Amino acid sequence: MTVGLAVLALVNLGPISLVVRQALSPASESVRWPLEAVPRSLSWQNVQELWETHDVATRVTLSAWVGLASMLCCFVVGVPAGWSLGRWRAAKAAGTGGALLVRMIPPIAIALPLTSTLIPAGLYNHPWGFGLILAHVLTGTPIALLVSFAAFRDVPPELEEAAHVDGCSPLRAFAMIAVPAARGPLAGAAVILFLTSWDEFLYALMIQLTNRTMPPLLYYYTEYGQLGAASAMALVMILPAIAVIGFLQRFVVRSSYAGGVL
Amino acid sequence: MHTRFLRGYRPRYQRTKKMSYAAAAFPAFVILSIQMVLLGSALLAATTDETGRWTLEHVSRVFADPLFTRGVLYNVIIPVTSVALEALVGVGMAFWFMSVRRRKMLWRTIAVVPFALPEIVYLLTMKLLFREHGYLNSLLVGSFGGSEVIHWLEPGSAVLTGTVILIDAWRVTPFVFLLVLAALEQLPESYAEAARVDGASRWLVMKRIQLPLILPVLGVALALRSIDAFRIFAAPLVLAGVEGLPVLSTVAYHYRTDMNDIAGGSVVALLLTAFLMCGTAAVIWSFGRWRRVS
Repeated sequence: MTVGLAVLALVNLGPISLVVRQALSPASESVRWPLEAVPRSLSWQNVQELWETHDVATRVTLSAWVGLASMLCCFVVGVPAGWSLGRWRAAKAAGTGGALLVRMIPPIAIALPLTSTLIPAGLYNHPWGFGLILAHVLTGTPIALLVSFAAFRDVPPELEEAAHVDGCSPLRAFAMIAVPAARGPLAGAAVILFLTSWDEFLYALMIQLTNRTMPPLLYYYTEYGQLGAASAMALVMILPAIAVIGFLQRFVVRSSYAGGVL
Repeated sequence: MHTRFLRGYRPRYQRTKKMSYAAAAFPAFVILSIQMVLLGSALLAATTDETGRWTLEHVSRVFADPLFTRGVLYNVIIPVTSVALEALVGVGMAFWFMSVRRRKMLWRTIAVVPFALPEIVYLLTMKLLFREHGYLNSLLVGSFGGSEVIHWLEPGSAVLTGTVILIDAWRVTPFVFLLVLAALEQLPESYAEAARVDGASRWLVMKRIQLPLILPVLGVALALRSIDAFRIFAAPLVLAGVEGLPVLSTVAYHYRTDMNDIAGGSVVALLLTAFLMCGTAAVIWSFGRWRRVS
């Protein structure tokens, strides 16, 4: 049992420590052979290089902005739709079926025509990432819809009917009663949507050619052998994941089973 | 006045409610429709030539490309093996984890790490480990001596395929593990107890009682996961490059980006989509049959 747990810890946490080691050791350490697990000297060289030469602050800001904007747009589009499907029996099957169907489409099949459409629209490789935000909204809306559908099914419709007795319109009842009642799962969905956008690789690779968010930038650093810079950037990318790792674990299981989300 | 309540009349509140539902659902409907329109646009690009006439030349060109054939092959081998591994290891881990008594939350968090990391970061760690002058080879050379290194990521080799399958499977195993563990923890103790009272060994309890009860949850998780597995893109690209280990997503990406062949890329992407749709339909149909029968 203890052996098993030790192996698990080694296999799961070991590689991250390698990234830390790679990020904090100077380039001279990487040409030594065989590589040593504990480097002989530490240096902030990689982090410094990242900050000064590679303009990482802009990248982080762009990633954060794209994540936030796409999460908010997914919410604005998906949550009312999830609520309406939760209450409207006639459209429920069509709506959730449509969302699930769209979720099954491979991203590459959307990315190819999307890039062809974004170029004439001027949104391709936009410095503020608007084309990418659109792409993330396209992928994130089914998730937001399915999760909020599952969440609003647990909110009793009697609350909204009681509000109607007091003269409240349905949309107002949605905003002031249903949403606060479901704020737990919705907050979890917000976190998931932000992280999905933060980590998203395929659309970012294809749409943002020079104004890159962090995942494709990390890929290019790895491709061109700049593993020190890649590792330093990876540490920055991990921070949001660490911040929610315990919270996410419990929520992902429950909501993915309920909403058909991966 | 009585005519107001004849059949077909809806009170004003009902009408407002229906209109509100429709209005609330409309933006999402637009977003979902945009994706179908984009797919249609891809279909158009795949089946028309420069003058706009219907043609199958793009399809035949793609089919004749050995990169595409290899892509199809690997796009079947890798997801199937990967999901099988995830299922076995995930279920095994969940059953094993039931006997962990102390600090369960800590160990669950540690177990979840590969899945919680951003995919590209996880792939970077694996690249640092598995590349030719990486940490794994350093460890092996340091422990066993010699100058021969194992080329884990040698393009076109079976070792590469195995390594990529392992890396991809290990990334998603925590998801299966968490799901099965949650299902196991929700099983009432009484079933296992009753079996043990009748003298069943722990293995028999696992096989005959607990496994069949978690099979529905496992089935759904694996079905969802298989569909995602066929869309694999980042792992083969980062670890081996397009030529080294082609899968349909990377082949389509390669056509579009490196060869500026939008039509060819659309053909490949649409073939993958069609395959996924058929697969999903098959899964839903067989799931429905299984539920009706059992």
